[in-house]
Amino acid sequence: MDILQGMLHGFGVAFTPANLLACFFGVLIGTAVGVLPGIGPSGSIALLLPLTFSMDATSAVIMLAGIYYGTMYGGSTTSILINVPGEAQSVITCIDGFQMASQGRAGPALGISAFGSFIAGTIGVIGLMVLAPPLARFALEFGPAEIFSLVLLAFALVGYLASGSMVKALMMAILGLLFASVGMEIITAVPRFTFGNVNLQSGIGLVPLIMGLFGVSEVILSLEETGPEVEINAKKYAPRFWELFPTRKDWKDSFWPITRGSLIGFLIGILPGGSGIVASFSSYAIEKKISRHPEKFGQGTIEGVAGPESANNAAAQGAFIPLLTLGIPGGSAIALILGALRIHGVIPGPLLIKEHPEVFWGVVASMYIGNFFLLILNLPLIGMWVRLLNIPKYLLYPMIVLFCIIGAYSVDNNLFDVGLLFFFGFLGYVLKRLNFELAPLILGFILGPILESSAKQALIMSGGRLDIFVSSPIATVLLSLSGLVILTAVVSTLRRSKAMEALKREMEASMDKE
Amino acid sequence: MLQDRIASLVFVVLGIVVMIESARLSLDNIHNPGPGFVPFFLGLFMVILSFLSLMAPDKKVRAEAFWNNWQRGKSTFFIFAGMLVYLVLLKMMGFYLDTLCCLIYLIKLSGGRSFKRSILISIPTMIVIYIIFGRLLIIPFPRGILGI
Repeated sequence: MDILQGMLHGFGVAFTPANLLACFFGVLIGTAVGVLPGIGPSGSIALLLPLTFSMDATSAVIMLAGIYYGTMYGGSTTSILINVPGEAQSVITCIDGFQMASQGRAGPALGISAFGSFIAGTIGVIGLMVLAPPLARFALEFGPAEIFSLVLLAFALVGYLASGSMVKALMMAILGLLFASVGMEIITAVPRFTFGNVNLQSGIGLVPLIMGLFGVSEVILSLEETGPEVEINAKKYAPRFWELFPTRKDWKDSFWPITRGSLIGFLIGILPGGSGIVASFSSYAIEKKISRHPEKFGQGTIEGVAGPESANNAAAQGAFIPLLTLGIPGGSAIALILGALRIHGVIPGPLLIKEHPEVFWGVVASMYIGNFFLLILNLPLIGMWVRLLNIPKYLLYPMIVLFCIIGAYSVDNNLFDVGLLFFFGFLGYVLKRLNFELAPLILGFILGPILESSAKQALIMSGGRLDIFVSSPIATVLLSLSGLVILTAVVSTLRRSKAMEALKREMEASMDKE
Repeated sequence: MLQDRIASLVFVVLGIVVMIESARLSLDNIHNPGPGFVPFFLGLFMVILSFLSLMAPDKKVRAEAFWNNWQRGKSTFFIFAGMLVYLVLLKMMGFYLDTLCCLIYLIKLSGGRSFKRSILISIPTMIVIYIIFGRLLIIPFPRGILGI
């Protein structure tokens, strides 16, 4: 099936009433989640995952994907209007976005953010449509050794791109791999780490793990912030509908930042660990670097909004490439979508386009439609999103916990899963307070079975010889890249700590002189 | 930072426990790995990385330790205590009754102004949950000794 045929088939699937509704519902929830600080796309996808059990695989993924890229749109609203990022990837938008709002230009900021997101999202979908099929065909050449090497590269990249300590990121990845090894071993069916508990023989469920780590722990962290509830005055800078449209000059100033942001974001999104945060920060840094007036950044320049917002949306579409063609999720939210596909009996990977074209092309086509929905939702309905910000904490957070409990229980109708939910809630809380990132843990949990089974299959095929991992050019290149990434990370960490030590000695010396 | 070092030590211990348990499962050899082979090496890597973390702690750890702010710690303690009590009583009280009590407790803890308001919010919420999940989606929630 060529691309044009595929897209026609995809639009045929996406335009059914059920899928249109799923898409609309997904982007609506995504925008709401993006607007509301506290719960992110991972938590909301985890919460709504049980709802998808009664849907077919295509509708389920369309809805969950809509939530994911929808949050990229919603996050900018609070960044611009109240200087509080709705999502982590909108942090950078606060810098110039809020300044624009303070200067009475909230409308163009919101408008260019929405239009830029739409353009970038469309470019991202085109990239996905064009690149995914040839990549999937290439990936058909992958055997167990290549898959093992690819997963190792994914872990190396996740560690390298971690915003905190690489060592801690790798520790989390290993913890995820260990959680994944609980249950019956794949080949010998020997129970591992079940400690005699029959509930653990089928392993730890994805839903209680995710909901606990992202839902319950996030609620507890948010509730920890004691103090009187402050009413957010988002209406102060909220523009009227006709003020949302950027001027000709705004468009002229934003054209290249949107274009560059889309490309940067898309390429970063393809990488495992390459998130919307990395994309938006990279775009801002580049725009500032190449601008003729870098001193204007931070004072309310539209380029500082257009570039990052485009980048994080394009990254959201790019993240679907490794998921749908290789079965490798790039982050925790995407890992959840992978989990949803598995629950529905669809295994994403090189054969997805061939065996389930309705899922692949349906999801791609729905992204075009979803981007249109998001443009409509984010411009005329700004007032509604602004009102959402004043939902009291004492209503929102207990409801989230309630939905987590229902979600965890409803997977297998097993009370043990509710216990697991609270265990992971506690664990997630402790890990976040200790500055451990959870995305590598999720990746480890999802990719653990793939890593172990591909390693064992490779060894069985080679009769126990290790040279199978370097016998194919693809596996050798992937392993070399993993080594290079780890080496680069180690060298840059050592250089940074040497520079810090030198700076510290300089400061001590100058203090002694004084 | 002390809490960072304690966390690293906990992971060292975890890694060692995993290695011991994996060895019990049978490692066999690299040419024909047994069920404990992969977890054994995961445990080993965990121990190595934890030692690295112990020797070079992350300087970006939040400055405040858990136990420095009792006000904050108090609310977290009460939330987890409530969750534990919820779990213990779930089978006995049944899902609806136990969750109703939990909801009232969480709303009050989250800054809901009075118990009366918490109850007025929780009861209709549980009725909606019963209709949607209990009757429409027919999820078989556990019923307690009262049959609710």
